[in-house]
Amino acid sequence: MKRLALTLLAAVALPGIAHAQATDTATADVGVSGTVAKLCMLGTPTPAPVDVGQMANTSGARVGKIAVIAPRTVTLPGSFCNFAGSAITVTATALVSNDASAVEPGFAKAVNYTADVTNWAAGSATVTTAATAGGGSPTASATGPTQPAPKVADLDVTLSNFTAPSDFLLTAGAYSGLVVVKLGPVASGGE
Amino acid sequence: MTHNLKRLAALSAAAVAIAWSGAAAAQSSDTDTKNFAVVGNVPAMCVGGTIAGTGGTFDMGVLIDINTGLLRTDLAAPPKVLSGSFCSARSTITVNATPMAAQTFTSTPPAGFSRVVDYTATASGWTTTPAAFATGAGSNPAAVQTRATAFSGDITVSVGSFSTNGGATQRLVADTNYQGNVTVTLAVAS
Amino acid sequence: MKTSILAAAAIIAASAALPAAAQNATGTVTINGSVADRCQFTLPSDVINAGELSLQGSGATAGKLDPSKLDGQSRTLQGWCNGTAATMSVEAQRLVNTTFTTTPPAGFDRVVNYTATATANSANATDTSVTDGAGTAVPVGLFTGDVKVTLSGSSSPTSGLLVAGDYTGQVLVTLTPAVALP
Repeated sequence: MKRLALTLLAAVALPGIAHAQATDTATADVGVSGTVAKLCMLGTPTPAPVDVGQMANTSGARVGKIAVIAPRTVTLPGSFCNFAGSAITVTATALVSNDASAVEPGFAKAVNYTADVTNWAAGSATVTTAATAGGGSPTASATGPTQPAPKVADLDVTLSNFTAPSDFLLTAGAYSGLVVVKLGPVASGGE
Repeated sequence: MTHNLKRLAALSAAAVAIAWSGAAAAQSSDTDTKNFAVVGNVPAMCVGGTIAGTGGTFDMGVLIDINTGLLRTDLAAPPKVLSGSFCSARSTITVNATPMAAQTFTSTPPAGFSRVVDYTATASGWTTTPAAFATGAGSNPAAVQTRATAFSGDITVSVGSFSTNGGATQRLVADTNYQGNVTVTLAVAS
Repeated sequence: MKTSILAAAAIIAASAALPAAAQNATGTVTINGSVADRCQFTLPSDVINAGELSLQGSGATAGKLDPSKLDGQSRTLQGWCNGTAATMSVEAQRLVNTTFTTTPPAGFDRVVNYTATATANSANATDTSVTDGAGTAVPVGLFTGDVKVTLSGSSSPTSGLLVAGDYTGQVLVTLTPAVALP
């Protein structure tokens, strides 16, 4: 019983340690994270399709041969990539006669041209088709320089330099070709 | 214990959310491609060539044998070449010829005489079968020939088979100027 | 020492055990203690992984912020405060692209702002990430239970295209007990 009283005293004799402590501020955090994936989008080509009209002279010293065709421009508005390191690849197919028959000596059934895509990187992406008079090898492709930062811009595709292979006479009929523009990351060859 | 379970539930819910949004954007979106057509046309046309130098005339010279007064039987002239002709599509070549007729003596000659010489004009080199027109014939179906493809080349025009209109025994009236015309026409075939 | 304690104990015991011939005497021992004002989080951390933040597809808004990825997202922490004068504040820190760290070109954003709301004991504290620092502290009082953090009103500074990369931000919730009494 004596011991019990002692214990009580001892407990009471230890006051004040909790009282001396400063008040606690508690902080919690909720981390928030997300990602944005790499994205490229091209605007809808306008105006399209391109109809260059009559391509051969009907009079003069160059009658029957390719006429001077003024350059045409097609715009892809609001094209963008949201990451650094993108490039344009342009693939052009020469205008080839829809008539499948073989071509006579001295005649061509294809019209070559140059397609030039500007406003993306510091230089343009340019390709010139090299179809033969018989319409062979009509497609050519090229990739332009790298755009080193994200970018949004109106791309311009200019078609010019319309020529006939060997400057031959052109066979009559409807001709058709195609321009394909691709925008995407530069093929990584190791960075 | 309760708190830990709640935390696990929150984290697993977040993991599910990530998987779901990933699947929705499964297509590769870092590349985009657009294209447009380029079209044009070349009209079907034919362009006639030119004869070099001053050679637009077949000069047949003296038409009669001076001993008989009848048409010479050896009339010949070198052919003429039309160069630089072309058609950009399938075409027809047509030869037309008018007989050689006396230009000064234009009235009807007396019996036994003729003032007209017939001949055949031929255009070759364009089609497999040359186009030919005989001025004395009632009809000339061979005068129009068709070529199925575009062509660029020389057309050789020749004249021959001369005969006296009205009969070989007729004599030709005297005239220093007998003249006929040969016309070669290239036209786009439909 | 033992002797003195025993002597004191003996005195007390003796005084207690003395049969009072005339009257009882009562001694009082006062016990004092105190509980300081405190706040604590028992579940102090969580993560919101919002996934792909930009709009997909091919419309005019493709590549821009999709507000539905952040708006309405919530996580519930656990905490308590034992004083009636406790207050709560929240700080929303904007999401920043940690992959692309330079100034973005015209037409692009690399930051996503939002409003964070912390709710505990029916009290709401809010803050927008547009301005640095925590929002105004609100009284939350004596409570133990959920501290719910909700995001809303997400936007990007120019409403432009978002630069590709990883985005990171955080919401800080602070529970402050009352200022210590003198």
